[in-house]
Amino acid sequence: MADLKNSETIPWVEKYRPMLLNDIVGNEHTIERLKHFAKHGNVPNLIISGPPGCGKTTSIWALARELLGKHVKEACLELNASDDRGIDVVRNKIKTFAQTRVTLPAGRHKMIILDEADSMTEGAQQALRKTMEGYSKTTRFALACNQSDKIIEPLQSRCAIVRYMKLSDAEMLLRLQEVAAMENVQYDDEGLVAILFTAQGDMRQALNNLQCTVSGYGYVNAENVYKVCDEPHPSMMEDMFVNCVKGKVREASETIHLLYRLGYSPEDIINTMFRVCKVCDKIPELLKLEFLREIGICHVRIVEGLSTLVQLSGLVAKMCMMNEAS
Amino acid sequence: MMVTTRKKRSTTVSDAFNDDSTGKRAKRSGTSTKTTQAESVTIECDTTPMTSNDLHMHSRKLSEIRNWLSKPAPRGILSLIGPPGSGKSTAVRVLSHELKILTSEWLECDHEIEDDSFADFLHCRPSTRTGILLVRHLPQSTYNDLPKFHELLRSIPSSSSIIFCLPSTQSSWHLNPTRLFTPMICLDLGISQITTNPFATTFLTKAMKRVAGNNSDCRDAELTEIAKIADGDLRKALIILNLRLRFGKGNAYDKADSPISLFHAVGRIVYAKRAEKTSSSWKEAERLLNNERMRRPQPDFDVNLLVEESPYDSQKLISFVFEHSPRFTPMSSLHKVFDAISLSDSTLHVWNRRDVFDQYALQTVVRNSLFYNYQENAGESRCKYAFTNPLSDQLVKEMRKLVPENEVSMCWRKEYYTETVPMMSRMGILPPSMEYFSHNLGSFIWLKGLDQWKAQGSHQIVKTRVVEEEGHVEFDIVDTDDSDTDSF
Repeated sequence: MADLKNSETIPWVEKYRPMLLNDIVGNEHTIERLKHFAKHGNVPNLIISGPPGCGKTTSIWALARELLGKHVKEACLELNASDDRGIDVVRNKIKTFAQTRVTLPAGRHKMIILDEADSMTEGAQQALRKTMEGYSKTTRFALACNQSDKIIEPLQSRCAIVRYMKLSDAEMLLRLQEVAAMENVQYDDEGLVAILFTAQGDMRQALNNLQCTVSGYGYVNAENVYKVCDEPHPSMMEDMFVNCVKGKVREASETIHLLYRLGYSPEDIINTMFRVCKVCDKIPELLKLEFLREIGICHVRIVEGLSTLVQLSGLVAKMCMMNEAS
Repeated sequence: MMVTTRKKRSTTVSDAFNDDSTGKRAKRSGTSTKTTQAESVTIECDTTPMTSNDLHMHSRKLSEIRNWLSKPAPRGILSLIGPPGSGKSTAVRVLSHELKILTSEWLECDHEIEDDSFADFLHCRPSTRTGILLVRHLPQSTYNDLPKFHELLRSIPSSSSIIFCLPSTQSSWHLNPTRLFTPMICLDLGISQITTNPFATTFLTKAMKRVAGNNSDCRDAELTEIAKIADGDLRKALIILNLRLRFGKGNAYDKADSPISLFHAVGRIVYAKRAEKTSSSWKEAERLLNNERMRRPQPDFDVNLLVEESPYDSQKLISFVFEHSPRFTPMSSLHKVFDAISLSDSTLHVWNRRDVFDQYALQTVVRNSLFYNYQENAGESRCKYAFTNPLSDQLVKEMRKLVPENEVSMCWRKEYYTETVPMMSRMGILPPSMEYFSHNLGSFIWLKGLDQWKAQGSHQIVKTRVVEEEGHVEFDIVDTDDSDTDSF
């Protein structure tokens, strides 16, 4: 049983956030490059792109910490999406910070970290270009984003782009086991696999799910994980797809009805459907692509507000007919 | 370059012009501010181009700019537009220095709410008659209120010389300078236009060689590699080169950053290569399919991995598949692939939830293309194929050759060509001549049958990009050298 008091007060994501570049899991090659930056200073402006939960912000902070040492508090500014980042903020907040004087060793610069930079307005990005040029002697920018293409070209041109990949299951597992050991978590292998499935390469989510399962049920097994994460069990989905392939519409829709009655929202159901469908190896190729297409169309409808059981049943019925129609 | 940092109202600008003494905020021409230099962090200052010999821009573009600058004053307005890092600002700086022209740059003031200072700046007259005003950043309000900006342009006295030096932004229409300087406006107000192009790989390599100097251990091949990653952007190339010189090869850049891997991704999708051996679980799944003819062997690669790890914008990847698939997909099932692309474009392109639906769009397109491009015994019919940048780029280039200098015509639009081009490439022929094509726009392509097409094409030079080599089964992706990027 985990130490309840501890696990309830600090999220493990924060508690076990790596402080040094050395401790960061995955993307070895990229981290290696950042280590060189940390050692030699004179960092260029950076754009760090990668999917959520792969350690972008963590590694920038680690870089800043290693670069700036004890000055990190006054020489590093982070703005994330929840802060107001209109043009005025870029103008004022960033400028004020860029203008403040901090004595740093040679080759070290103040750092401004802009998290989720791709959600900044275009106007703000444009204003940033100007600021970046104006304060290049004292300040460096690190822009974290999910896709570097979403940053306007003039900014891309002024930054070195560092790409992150989604963490592999093995890398995630390693870290999960470490954390589990440190927190004295009791788990079985199936449970960790379930966490990997629900997290889909997102370390942040994996740790959150692990912590939730532990504080909710104490023991981490597949069943508890899916209960906590409130996701339909993937093996049920897999059975449903097999039924669809065989054209057994009654059995297939039974699964959907059951899930719906259990209280899952259609969006949860369809999300799991998509995730299971693309990796399931029991669906013939032709049917798989047709299934994915239909799931996509149905998902659009659900997002637009038509989240009813009728839509889901219609989807299942359609999928059951496909083998016949091929 | 003379720089005016503006803190108060317009008086500062005129002061800067009239006051020839060494004002603190205004520096005399010649002591350049090295804006470009400061950005590229640590490449030493003495590598900034100081003379036009050091500029690696295409000579024709360079002379265009020089011609405009050496016109007797007043020169009017010039819109100098080009992708970031194509040497716009540097060219203006170096050339105006050489021609001993005083430039005065607009630097955004801190508080420009309801401020006329930008207008005042554009209206002010340089004291020396030959001086020019340079605008590299427009105030935000400009983008929000186009009519006002056009009004402002109209009100500029004919005695001024102004350069608007702005980066083109493909990703954002809102910030796109072509939105501000439309062909009509330019024609109307007599604004000269010069567009710079991305640096060709050869030019980039040359420029980097100069910066790296002789004593570096950077080989030519490596410079070319960097040039390819930078994709025509000199500023980017210098950043990478700088890292390379400081940290060594492995730490400066990733080969995965190179655009060639985009071609590889597209290549994998359209070639639809199947694995030598099909795993038993795959076979078992395929056996469930009723229609035996539709069973397929296992693909050579993991689709999910390709889709999820693609660093490219899914729309971009899809547009590449769209353009190239007519060459690969059997005619009988081409509609299926296009169907999927069309679906992903229309239905699955939900902008505000693109994190979710981009995955669907890409999965649908990739899997469809993979499935329908499969041909049994494909080995014999598949030929070596050189991937190119989208064909439309090439056509736009050829098209521009035909347009007389400074002639503004509304029908020279890329879209006319891109819509018909993919189907034309399927036929294996390009129009006899671009001139003919553009004069008969629309009516020409679809009203004629393929037979007539061929008759038309047979006595012309038919240009196809497929390099057929009999018996060559293996696929090979060659990225075409874009060294002619700048040569038109």
